[in-house]
Amino acid sequence: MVSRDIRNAIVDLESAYAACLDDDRLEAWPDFFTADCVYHITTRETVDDGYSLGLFYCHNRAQVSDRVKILRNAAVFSVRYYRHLVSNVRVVGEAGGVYAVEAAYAVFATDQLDGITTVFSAGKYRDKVVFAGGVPKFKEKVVIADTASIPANLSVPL
Amino acid sequence: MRHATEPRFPFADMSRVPYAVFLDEGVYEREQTRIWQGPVWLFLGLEAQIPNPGDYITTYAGDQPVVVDRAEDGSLHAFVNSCAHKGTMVVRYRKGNAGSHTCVYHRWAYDLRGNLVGVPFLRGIEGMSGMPKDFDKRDHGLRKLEVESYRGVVFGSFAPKPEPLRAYLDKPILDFLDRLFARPIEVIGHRRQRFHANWKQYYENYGDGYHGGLLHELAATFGLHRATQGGSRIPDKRGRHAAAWVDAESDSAEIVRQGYRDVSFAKSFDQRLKLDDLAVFGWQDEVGDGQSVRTCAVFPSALFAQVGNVLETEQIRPKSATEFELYWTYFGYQDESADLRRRRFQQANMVGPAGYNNMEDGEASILEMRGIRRRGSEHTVLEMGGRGPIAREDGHARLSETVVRGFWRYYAELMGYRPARSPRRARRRR
Repeated sequence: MVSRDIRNAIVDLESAYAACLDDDRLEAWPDFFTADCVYHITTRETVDDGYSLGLFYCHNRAQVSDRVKILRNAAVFSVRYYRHLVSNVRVVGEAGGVYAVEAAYAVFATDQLDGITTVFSAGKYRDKVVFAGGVPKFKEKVVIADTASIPANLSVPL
Repeated sequence: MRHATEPRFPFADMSRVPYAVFLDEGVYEREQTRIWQGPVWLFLGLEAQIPNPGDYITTYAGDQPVVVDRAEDGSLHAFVNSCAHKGTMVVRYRKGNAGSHTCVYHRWAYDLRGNLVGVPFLRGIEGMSGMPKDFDKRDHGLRKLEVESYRGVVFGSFAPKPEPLRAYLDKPILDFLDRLFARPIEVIGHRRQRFHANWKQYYENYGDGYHGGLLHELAATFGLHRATQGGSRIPDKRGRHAAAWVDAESDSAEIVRQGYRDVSFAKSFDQRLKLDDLAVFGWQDEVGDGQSVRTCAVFPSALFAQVGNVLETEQIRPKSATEFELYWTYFGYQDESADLRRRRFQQANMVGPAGYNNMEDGEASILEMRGIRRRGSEHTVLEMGGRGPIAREDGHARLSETVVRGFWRYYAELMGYRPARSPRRARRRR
């Protein structure tokens, strides 16, 4: 049985993660991860078909923060606002202080020229959360997108 | 929906392309007939996706849903995924293994070659109803494509007697595929991407070496490919396809500085972006010829590439004049080392819909589409690398749009758009 405090802290982590991305505070995004983290975006059909190559893969926090540097300084991608809704957060297991967490997400994209909002991606998070000095961090975040065909491009993280 | 006036290519060297070909649904419909169901070979997939008898994948040939499968004797077949009875899509899954394909609506059943083999209540019941006596199942198969495979790359054609695949691809493309598919492969994943743009805007991007070192700032900064690097670009004998490569070590710091003098990148090469983990640029030269990027476009639907250590195919799936899907397949060799496989995975962050290189190509196509809404009677300008003949280029072949003009020449030929007869008139341009 996971304590209410732990559960609340994990739900708050998921919400703060979404708000960070939606507010375009990308520079703060790597802080949600441990130094040895895995961050992986894949699709449900990739998982179902038994393939291991998803859309994007970081095997440490350096690669996570590199993505921010590249998006900010050396990449061209759609000019959009994003809105992440994270729901159905469940702590599904715990082993040695690592909490297995699952949540559903939906991300809306708003084209900044047209002002039109569309569903960009729907799927789930399969996370591993650890507490470092009482602060929850993602040791692993696997984004499994139901939306297999990416609308234009996937720049800002899911 | 038909266009009021035929799109006009004003110059025989195809250095001007009418924007109407990207905008007009009438043009799109004509393409589906004259190109996609015309005398071309369409890339359908890889044999490695359907290794065993009964294995199938569903894909597209132009905008038509198609099933590709392997029959009991190992032969490859492809047919339109639309029941001969009422047009219902027969196979409803991305992939699988089946002994036959049965339509869910009235349970008409087809064998792995697309022949109709079962019609429920064909003879009615108790002597009543049933199909007319002269109903012949042989007249009601699924629409079949001609299928040929080269080096495990499966192509299909709607043409009844297409030219042989090897002749269609021609030497530069055969050489490219010989190298890319030199050993048995293993598919490691697929990715896909949906664009509000015209499929040709993306296809053009592949032949357009000019944009490579300009749009892709990160790749240029870290030398994966740069506008100042040398390389070659080789069209087939009719100029409709092209293979190309980049010689990674062919420029110097001085040439880079000079070349990029006027390029407004966010960071100049001198204050190069500092990254903490360079695994994405961990290219290891597998062949030993210093070619960091190799690309190849096969008219009208296929793109093949080696980007660093990433090996990939791209299939273009047009949906309308203003929409298409891109379907990527990534692979490695069955006998490769774990280290090389790891490199492929890490460098795969460069490519695909979330990749640093390709998120940009898609965005360029979309921006083109957004810009041209009311410019249907005007033209793009293709003059980098010069005008006139469409031929092999070496040296600074990256700074070229020549093979793009080759694509348009064959396109116009199939579409029946006759370019201006005479070579371009000499005239002053600003």
